[in-house]
Amino acid sequence: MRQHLIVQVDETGIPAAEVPFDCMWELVEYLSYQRVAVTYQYHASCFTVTFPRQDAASAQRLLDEWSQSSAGMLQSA
Amino acid sequence: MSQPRFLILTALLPEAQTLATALSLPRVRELRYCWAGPQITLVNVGLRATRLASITPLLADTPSFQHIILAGISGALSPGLAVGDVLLDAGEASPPPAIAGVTQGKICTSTELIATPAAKAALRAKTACDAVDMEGDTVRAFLAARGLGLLHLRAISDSAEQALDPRFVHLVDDRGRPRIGRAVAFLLSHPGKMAELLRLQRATQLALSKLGAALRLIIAAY
Repeated sequence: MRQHLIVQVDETGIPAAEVPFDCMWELVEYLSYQRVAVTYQYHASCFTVTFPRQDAASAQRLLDEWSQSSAGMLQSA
Repeated sequence: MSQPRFLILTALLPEAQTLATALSLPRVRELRYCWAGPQITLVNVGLRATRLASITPLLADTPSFQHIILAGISGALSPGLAVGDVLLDAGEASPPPAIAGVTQGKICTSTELIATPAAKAALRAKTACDAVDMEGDTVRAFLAARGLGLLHLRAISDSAEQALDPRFVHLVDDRGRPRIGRAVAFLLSHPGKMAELLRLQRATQLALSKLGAALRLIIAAY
């Protein structure tokens, strides 16, 4: 199990989540395998991942699936 | 004291070839997409950094790299940036001393092309970033997972007011090489796009020449 990430919707209706540094690379790999369009932004304390083409429920589902998948899944796929 | 070692990453092969020439780096015979000199190693990691894992063995090199720089072209989000302007986002890494012609700024990353002035303005409003690329924060996350920082250097190839046809990204392969068949088919069916492609090519050449000059100054400044 990985860290549970929470999607929040900004004022323009675009879902986004804050991602700690230590799990960001695993999330980048996962989203790249899923071929999801995302925007990344670096901040001093975390990254922000934005999902411009997903609604909040779909984005949260993606992050939930990522958090419940094991780190070895991508290597064995 | 020994000279610092630099690892330079590019997304597109034309970026790598231009920078290798600017830095007088010979191609490494044994490794594809790699150029190296005594102080500098340059690797092409592909569009959207899809070949980033290829640098993993290099990160174990001894002596280690003191500075890792991702360099290439990008689109402006800030209306104040023009084609050819060079932007440095040092993030958490130690920045070089001020370099003439290089502006400090923030660069965000999108996995799809941000093509229209409206999309650029919306991303600028949301992130307050000055430019957008397709690899930067992916590379930053990869390096952060290994305790390493990144200097992110970009030259502007399209301004915030300029529109790009999003289909252009499909005319190159995942290393930025032209897909000749697709390009010919695209231009035959959209002949009016030739002028836009030529304008983009000229802007890219200007941006790459400024990028090479800036990179030489940054390396000399450390």
